[in-house]
Formats: sequence, structure tokens, C-alpha cells
Amino acid sequence: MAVKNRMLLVLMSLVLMAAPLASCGTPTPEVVERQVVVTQIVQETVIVEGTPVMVEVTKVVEVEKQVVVTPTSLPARDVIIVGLSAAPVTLDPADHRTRNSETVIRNMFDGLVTRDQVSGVHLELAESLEWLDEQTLEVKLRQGVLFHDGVAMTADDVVFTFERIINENMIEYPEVHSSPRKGLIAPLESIDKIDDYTVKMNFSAPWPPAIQMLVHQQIVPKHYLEEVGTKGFIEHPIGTGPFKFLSATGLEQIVLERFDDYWGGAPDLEPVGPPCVRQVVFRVIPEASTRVAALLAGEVDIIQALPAELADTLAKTPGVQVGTAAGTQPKWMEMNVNQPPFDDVRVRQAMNYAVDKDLIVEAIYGGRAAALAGPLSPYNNYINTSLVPYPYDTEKALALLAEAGWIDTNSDGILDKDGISLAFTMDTLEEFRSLAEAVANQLRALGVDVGVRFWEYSVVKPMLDANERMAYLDDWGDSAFDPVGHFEAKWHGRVTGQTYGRGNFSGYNNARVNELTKLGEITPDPVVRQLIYDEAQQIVYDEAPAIFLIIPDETEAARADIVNWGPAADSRINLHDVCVAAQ
Amino acid sequence: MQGIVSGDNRFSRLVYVWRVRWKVRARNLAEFWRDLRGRPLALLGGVVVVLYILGAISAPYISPHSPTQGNLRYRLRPPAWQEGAEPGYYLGTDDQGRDLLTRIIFGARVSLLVGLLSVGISVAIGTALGALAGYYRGWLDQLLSRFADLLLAFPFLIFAIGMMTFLGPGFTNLIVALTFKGWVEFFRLVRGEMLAEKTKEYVEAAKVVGQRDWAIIASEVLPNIIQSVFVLGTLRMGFMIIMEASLSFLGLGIQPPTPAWGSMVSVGRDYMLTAWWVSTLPGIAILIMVLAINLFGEGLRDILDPRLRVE
Repeated sequence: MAVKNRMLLVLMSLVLMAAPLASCGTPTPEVVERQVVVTQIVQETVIVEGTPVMVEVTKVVEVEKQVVVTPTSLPARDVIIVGLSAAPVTLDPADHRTRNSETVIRNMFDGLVTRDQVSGVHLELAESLEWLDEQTLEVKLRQGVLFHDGVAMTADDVVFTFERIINENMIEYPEVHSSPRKGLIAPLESIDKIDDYTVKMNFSAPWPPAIQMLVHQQIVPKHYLEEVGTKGFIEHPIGTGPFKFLSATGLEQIVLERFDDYWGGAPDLEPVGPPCVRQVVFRVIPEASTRVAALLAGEVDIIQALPAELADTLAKTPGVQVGTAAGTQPKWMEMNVNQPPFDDVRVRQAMNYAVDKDLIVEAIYGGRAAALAGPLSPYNNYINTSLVPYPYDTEKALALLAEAGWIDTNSDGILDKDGISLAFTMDTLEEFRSLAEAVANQLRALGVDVGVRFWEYSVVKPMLDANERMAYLDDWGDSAFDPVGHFEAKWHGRVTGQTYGRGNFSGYNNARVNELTKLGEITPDPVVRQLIYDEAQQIVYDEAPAIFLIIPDETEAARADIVNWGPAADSRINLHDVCVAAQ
Repeated sequence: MQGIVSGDNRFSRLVYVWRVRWKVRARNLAEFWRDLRGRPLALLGGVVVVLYILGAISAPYISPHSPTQGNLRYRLRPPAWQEGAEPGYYLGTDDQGRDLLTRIIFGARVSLLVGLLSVGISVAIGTALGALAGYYRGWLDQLLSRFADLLLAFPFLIFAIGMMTFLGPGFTNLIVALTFKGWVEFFRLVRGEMLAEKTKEYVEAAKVVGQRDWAIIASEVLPNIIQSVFVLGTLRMGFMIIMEASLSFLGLGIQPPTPAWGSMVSVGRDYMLTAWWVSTLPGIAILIMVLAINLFGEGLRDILDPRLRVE
């Protein structure tokens, strides 16, 4: 009995709790009540002192109650909540190398130039860019641009911003260090102020991708940083962007507010003016399915990194829209070219023939990916169009392996040579689990004993740097659509103390590729550059220091009433343009 | 002696002792069986555990597919009773197109092996050290007890995560990480029991007769406390299996392609919205196994622990 009563109580309190919720969910329409008296003038005969007289009287015929209801529309939603896959590492534009940091930062800060959702670069804080010669860029700045504290942006801020990045040890918090973004603008030697709204950038050599790379540097306020320091700056960042910082809970939830005095944004990219929505919230929801569930429940409006297997389901779900853009993060499995069995180019080529990339694209990515034809992404501006992805050809793979001496002599299903089985461990990160297991699966079907091991990047990185591991599957982002980034980091040989080969985990080191990489960096003529990179791609393709796998599309999703929204190739979520459609 | 033993040779005396022991054992076994039948839940648990063990042993013969080799074309197919199922894949497939039923059966191998090995090694180490510490006391006891206290200060899972991060994932390291702290429970139990037993008359008698210390520990005292160790071991086994699943879930335990329930649950999280079975079914497998082991273990405790006997 007691239990029953308690259940009843719980039920009642639930009902009581729900009652006010139900009433405040919808706005009350305006209701006006008034009495309407309908009168009529009638002629009546009245008898006045014995004689009938016609008089006019006003008589109430009907009293009716008239209710006028003015329907008020729901107040437009003016807060947009974005579900991020990972927290930004900082809000300082000069102190990170992660995409998600940039995604948040670029809503608070502007750069000299910006990029549209594909690969076009447009002027932002720069009014004009002019190459005075091959190594000197003159930047005229837009006037009347305000930082969030109301101070105007000038050449001093731009000079300060870039010096903070290119000079050593400019960031003093948490300990003194150099900006990790220096590598993104390495050839920039110095920057000079000409006048209040003109600066001159001096490069050490001609640098064709300069303008594409400038997109990734945002202008910070000199006066504010000098006053509060880096610590104060990251606690309350100030930029010239469309949204100003309001509050943050760690970096797990960041709230930004519309900057009403915003100068408008890149004139090429409509709409221009202050942002549409009043507030934006970036909330970190690491688990993909939780992120999707939050979107379906209406807890967030836009989500990042939609898993491919959910894209089709979501696209069919009413109330939700799915958007894709060409990706910029190609994925490879690099093989250690300095150790057997991968020191034999035939084995590496065989690995490439053994992976059915089309099946992976279809099955794992639901068609939202493309197979790689060599080291570069097919969307790169300098892709070698004569290369095609290694076809899936197990016979060719087995033939190449047999040529290299790997044959299954003891019929255990695993290829062997001199009594040693063809076996290796593929290292990767948890986020690539599906792809890594699929590749391992296909190699195992060929007769290669492949294990997969998942690591924390910080743990495996030193071993990769030392070229100790056999195989590593991951990706390398490059949103500039220029070959410089990938060739410099991944396919150029490792050079101690330099950025060359910093992401080269295969140990690949080809003199000609190194030479071409360096040449491509300083050759301004696009036709010559194309020839240079065509050759470089051909060499890397043939020598196959990696299994060239796939590049997935950027896939994001939003509530259906979010307009002016679409994923960008460089993963940026530009909330300046985004609106909530009126209901 | 004369009255009991017919001949006065050592051999016949030994035969006699063994016969008595077997009789006692048979009587105990019959009694045990009677007790177990009186506890249907424990019996059920025992039966389920036996089924799991049989399944794990005969995994290669009874499972319909390869546990590691999948077919991407059959990716994320639902279980047989749902629409869109692939014939022959009764519990559906995972993200690599591998048969989930097969992987669950093979996963039982990992779980049981980890459970048995980690508990077995913990029992061996814990019992040996506990018996020594309890019997001899002194500096050895001080040293071991303080070390045990130190280990007890850490929560088990946190400790295991730390160990695995340090050692790196893998089966051997997993056993090392689990036993490194697992032996403490048995050490404390055996040491406590030893302290209590040591003062009893039969130990005094054995000493008076002139038995050596190791003989007293091994053949006089240990048989009297082994029941408690057995009970604790059974109960800890469920715990160890959960630990293995937790570590594998976190990516620190068994590495792919070896199927382990914990990592299967972890992988399935990403597909929860579209393919519930990938993580739910291995989760249920863990649940049932641990529940069965614990029910059986608690039944054992009720039967074997003389202190709980209220007649």
C-alpha cells in the first residue's frame, strides 16, 4: 500500500511539474474582449396624452460579445547552438594547430582574407593585396573596423599579430613558447608598417600559396594583449569578428554574442552586416551518436563531423538537413620504408593493390568519400590528373608479393619468406577505427597477418618520429588546396629542426621529391608548378610509401530551419551568415 | 592404531587414510549437491557458467563464421528477427561486416580466460604470501601488509587504467595489470584466516608432533581455509571480467581483431542510433555472464561458509 501511495505521489508531482511547462511552452496570443451593442432606430407609435404620436427610439436589438484574437507569432529563435566533436585547445588565434580551435576562433576574429565554403579566397580585413615584387606583399587595410572593445583596428595590430607568430618565444603563457602557427606562414620574414592602414609583408622567397595560407591567421588587438597579456586574452578574447566573447565553461561550452558594431564581413560574400542571430553557443559533444541525438532532440542546431553511416538516415529525417563539402583531410596508411618487409617497393605497391577503396567508400562512408590517386587529394589545385587510384587487384598484389619472395609455403593462409610470416601491426588512433579495421581485414584476406593497435597521439608520436613503428594510418589536414602543405610535411624527407617531413611517418626520403618539393614552394608560375608537382606525385605514387586510401567529405547536419548554412571544406562553421527561418 | 588398521605397514595405513578422505569427500560432495539444489538461483548461475565455458571451448566448432574476417558488403545488418537481416547472421553484423554471434562466442573465451587467469594468479600469489605473512608475522608480515594497504588505497579501475597506459595494451599486460592489485584481496583473506587458525589446537598438535612449518601451512591449515578462498575467487571472477570489459571499452585492453566484449560495446556506441545490436548484444553477454558467476558465487558462499550456517 505504501509503495502504491509513493508511486501515486511521484506521478502527481510529475503531473504538477509538467503543468507549468506545458503552459509556458507556447506564447499566449493577444486576446481582446469587448461588448458589441447592436442598436436599431425604429419608429414606434406611442400614445401621448391620448393621441398616438410617431417617435423614433433607439432600441437595443442584440448584445453580442466580440472576441478579437490577434495571433502572435512565436518569437524568432535567436540563439544557435553548435555541437562540436572536440573542444578547441585555446581561444588564442596564434596558439593552436587544431581545426576546432579555428572553427570557434574564426567567429570571433577576422583575418586579412577569408575563404568561402569551397576554395575561393576573398578579402576580409584587407582592402587590397598587391605583390610589389615576387617576395613583397603590400596589404591595404580596411578602415573603420572596430575591435569588440570599440578600439579601431590599425596596421599596428596587424604587425603585432604577425610578429607574435613569426618571432621566437612571443607567447608567454602558460610558459614562454613560440607560436605553433609559424609553420603555416614560415616564409614570412618580417612585416613593416607603412602607414596606419598599410603594411608590407616581406617573404624570404617567392611563395605561391601565400594568399591561401593567410586565411588561417587572424588579427588580434595589440593594445588589449599588451594590457592583459596572453593569460587575460584567452580568458576573455577580443577580436574584430562578428561575435564577441561572452562566457565559457572551460572550453567545453563557449557562448558568443552578436557584435552590433561589426563592420560587415567580406564584401564578396553575401550577406554583409552584423550577424543574424543574437547569440551562438559552441558545445562539445565528443560522441558522434550523442551529437546526432542532440540534434534530433533539438538541443543543438548544427552538428559537426556527422558519421557517414548516419548521414543517409538523417537526410531522410524530417526537420533535419545534411550538408557535405569536399573534404581536406586525406587518409593514408604509411609504411616504414626503412624496415622489412616495407623496404621493398613491390610489397608497398602490393599493399596498395590489395585494398578495395571503392568498397570502403561505399560501405563505410556511404559514398561520401573519394579514393586517393596518389599522395594528394583529388580536390587539390595541382592534382596530377593522369594518375588513377591503385585498382583493387588481389592477383596483381599476390604476384608482386611473390616476386618479392612472399609466398604461402606452409599453407597456413599467411604469406611467408625464409620462414618468417608477413605480419605487422597497424598503428592508428581511435577515430580511424572503422577504416583501419577494414584495411586490416582486406590485407588479412590477402594473407598478411595484420593487427591493429589504437594509441593516444601523444604516446605514439615520439615512436613515429623515431621511425620505430611499422605502419601508421591517419590523416593530415590541409585546407589550402595547395600541394605545399602535404609535400612539405608528409613526403619530403625528415629534416631535424625544420618543418620538412614533420609528418613523414614512413621514413620516405627521395632526393628528387625533396628537390621538387622545395622548387614547388618558390615557383610562382602555375604552369611550371603543375609540371613540378605532376612529377613529384608520379614518383610518390610509384614508390608508394603509403597505401593511398580515401578522403571523406566534410559532412555536417543542421535543423531544417537553419538557413544560409553549409559545411565548408576547411571545416569552418561560419555563423555570421546563419539565420533561423521564421516559423 | 592396532584396532583400526589391520596390518602395521605404512602402505596399508596410507590406503586407509585415503579411503577415509574419499568417503568424506564423497559425502561432502553429496551434501554440496543437496545444498546447491536447494538454491535454484545459484544452480541456474552455475548452469549458465558451464554453458559459457562449453561455448568458449568449442567456439571454433559451433560458431557459423570467422570472428575476425568480415565482409564489408554485409556491414551493420540487423539480427535475424528484424527486417533487412542477412540470412545466416543470426545476431546481425558489426561495422566490419563480421558475424556478431560468432564474435560474442569468441568473446567469451577472452572474458573467461582473463577471469580465470587473473583470479588464478591472484589466488596463487595472495594465498602463498598471506599464509606466510599470517604464519610467521614479523617484518615479512609488516612489509607485505603495508604494501597491500598501499595498493588498496587506489581504486581498482583507476589503477588498472594507469597500469595499462604504462604497459601498453595487450593480453599479457592486461593479466599483469589485473593481478598486480588482484592478489591483495586474497592476501588479506588468507592472512586473517591464518592468524585465526594458527592458535587452534590442531596446529599446536601438529607442532608438537614435530611437523615442519611448511607442512603445517600446506597440509594442515590451508585445507581449512581454502573454501573461503574459493568463494572469494568465484566472486572476484565476475569483477575481473567487468574490469577486462571496462579496459577493453576504453581501448586499453584486448586489441583488435581479437573479439572482446568490452571493445565490441565500445565500437557499437557510434552506431547506437542506427544499429543498436552492435553494442547491446555483447553488453547483454557480459551482463548474463557476470550475473551468473555472482549468483553461483553467492550460492557457494552460503553453502561453504560455516559462519553463515544457521541450522
